[in-house]
Amino acid sequence: MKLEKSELEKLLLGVLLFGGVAYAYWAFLLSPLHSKEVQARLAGVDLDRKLKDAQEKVAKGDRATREGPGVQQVLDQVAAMVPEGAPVAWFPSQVSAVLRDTGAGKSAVRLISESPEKGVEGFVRTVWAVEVPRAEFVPLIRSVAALEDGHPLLEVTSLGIEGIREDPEKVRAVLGLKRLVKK
Amino acid sequence: MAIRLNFHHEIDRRMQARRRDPLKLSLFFLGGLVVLMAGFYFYEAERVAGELQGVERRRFDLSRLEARAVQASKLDEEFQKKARLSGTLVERMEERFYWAPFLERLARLVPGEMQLTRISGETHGEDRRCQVSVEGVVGGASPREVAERFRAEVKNAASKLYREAQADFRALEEAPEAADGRHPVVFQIQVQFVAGKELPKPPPPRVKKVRP
Repeated sequence: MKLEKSELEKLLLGVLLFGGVAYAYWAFLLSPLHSKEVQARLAGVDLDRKLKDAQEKVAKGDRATREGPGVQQVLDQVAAMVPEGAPVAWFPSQVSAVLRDTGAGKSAVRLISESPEKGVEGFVRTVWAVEVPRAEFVPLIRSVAALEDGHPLLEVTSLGIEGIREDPEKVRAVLGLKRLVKK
Repeated sequence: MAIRLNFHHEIDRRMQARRRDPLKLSLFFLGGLVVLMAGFYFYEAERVAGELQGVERRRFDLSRLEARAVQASKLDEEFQKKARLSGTLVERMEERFYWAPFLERLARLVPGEMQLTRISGETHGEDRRCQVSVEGVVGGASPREVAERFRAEVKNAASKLYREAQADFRALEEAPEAADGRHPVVFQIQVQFVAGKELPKPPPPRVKKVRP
């Protein structure tokens, strides 16, 4: 089939029209839609991340609400182990009472130092020296056991037990104690 | 055969030319394409609208959740702080070294011919490393053997309870003659052990490669 000149011109016009329509369709309709979609997707990804973070935070908060009372109970129990007031006012008498009650007899308790305890916020480490001038060995061990069992915040860090030459049944003892107290 | 003459040939040719007019055909084609494109556009627009709606929904969910998250974050921070403190306190309490059981065992191991004159000891470090010095006097026929047996028993007992237990003589000497004419033995045993948990080993030091 041979096309005439006028037909060729019309065909060219048709092609130009098609190109114009395709360009307009892409530039004014599809392209903005596409960029809108890309933006929506990016916003969606960002929102998903934020939502996930928020959900994790809420889950952690729920866990805190669930497990908080248990932790608080432990802290309350520990707080109850520390009487109010300066440690010098109550600790020596507390230790002396334990030693007396368990048969170790008289004792002298002295505060050696007081320093902040690393990793235990709100608590102070106090170091004490306890001198027991005359006691039998077995009651002394019983006293040490009573101190260790009855006072979880107390730790015997050192001890020295020496027999008394004049009284072989008795010993002299010096205990080094570490006690956590509230700041 | 009769001759047939077509007097409409001019009209037919024009009609034929109109039928295959490229402009008309391309307009038809373009029209169809426009319909398809419009359909595709509406389909895409609907899809994007759905996506935008999803984003809006998520934005709404986030705005609703954010206030709770901030509150939960504060709660969690406080909880973590308390849990850390409580954990440390419980660990400190549980990781203590108890002297009483050790002294009780030590007292049970002392044989009849022996008398302890001095016990001193201390714990140090996070892993509760203990050093105990036990001094005493042994009488009887073979005091050195008794002292050695005691040392071995102390080591054995300490090994059962603690890690890295050692018990060595620091001194084992004859004391002045006793009333029965025998020479008692004075000894000092150094006992060492680790009562606490095993600490993680520090990483090996980095060795710098020296280029030749």
